[in-house]
Amino acid sequence: MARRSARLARRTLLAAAAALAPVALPAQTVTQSAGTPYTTPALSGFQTLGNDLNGIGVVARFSNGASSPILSFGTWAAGSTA
Amino acid sequence: MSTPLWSLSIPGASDTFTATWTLSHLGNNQSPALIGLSLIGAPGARVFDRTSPSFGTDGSAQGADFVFTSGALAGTVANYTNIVSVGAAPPVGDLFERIDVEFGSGGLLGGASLGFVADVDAARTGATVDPVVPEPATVLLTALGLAGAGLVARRRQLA
Repeated sequence: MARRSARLARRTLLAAAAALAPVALPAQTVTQSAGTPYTTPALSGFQTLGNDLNGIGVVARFSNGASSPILSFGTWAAGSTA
Repeated sequence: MSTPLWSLSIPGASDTFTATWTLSHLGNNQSPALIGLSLIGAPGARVFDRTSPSFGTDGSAQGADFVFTSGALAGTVANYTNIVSVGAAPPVGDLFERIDVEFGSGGLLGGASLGFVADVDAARTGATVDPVVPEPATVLLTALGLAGAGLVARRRQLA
């Protein structure tokens, strides 16, 4: 009887420990919203083109409320720093 | 000219489907944390291609969602917005104009760096016009027509 109680107590403890163990959160969550939809007319498709990122603008925001000015399209090249 | 507080780079001549972007905070431990980053594609020229739906929009390749490859900041949210459609077709849901990233864990601190993957695709804007090659039947009909016209002209000349 005592052995059975001990086993039950051990199981209860293990279950409680598992419940209290920190749950690993995913590092990032990806969401999406329609925002302002736009249509690109007269395109023949898309291609992966990693060596030409001149069409990307970048904005960085800081905890003091400052944000970097957007880099104009066409001024930023792959391999460079922004 | 002020000293830049941050840098963003990607190896040249690489495919953003797998290549890692490196974001660095160039300040020190007294600098404000970098808490957000927006990547914006020039309308009609660059789009961000999500993993799902796979392949998605006609003409687009497989995409890759924003994901940390190093220095992950737990609780980060990457929001894709401004859905893109091509021509008259409704948007499929894989292409977006921009990504707004809000970093978790208080943001990127001075002197730290992180890596991530986010697929960018370039629009092929150069219109391709295929040369029009006449069908054999069209060639034959045209030849017959020209021969007939020539015959009529010759008869008129003789008359």
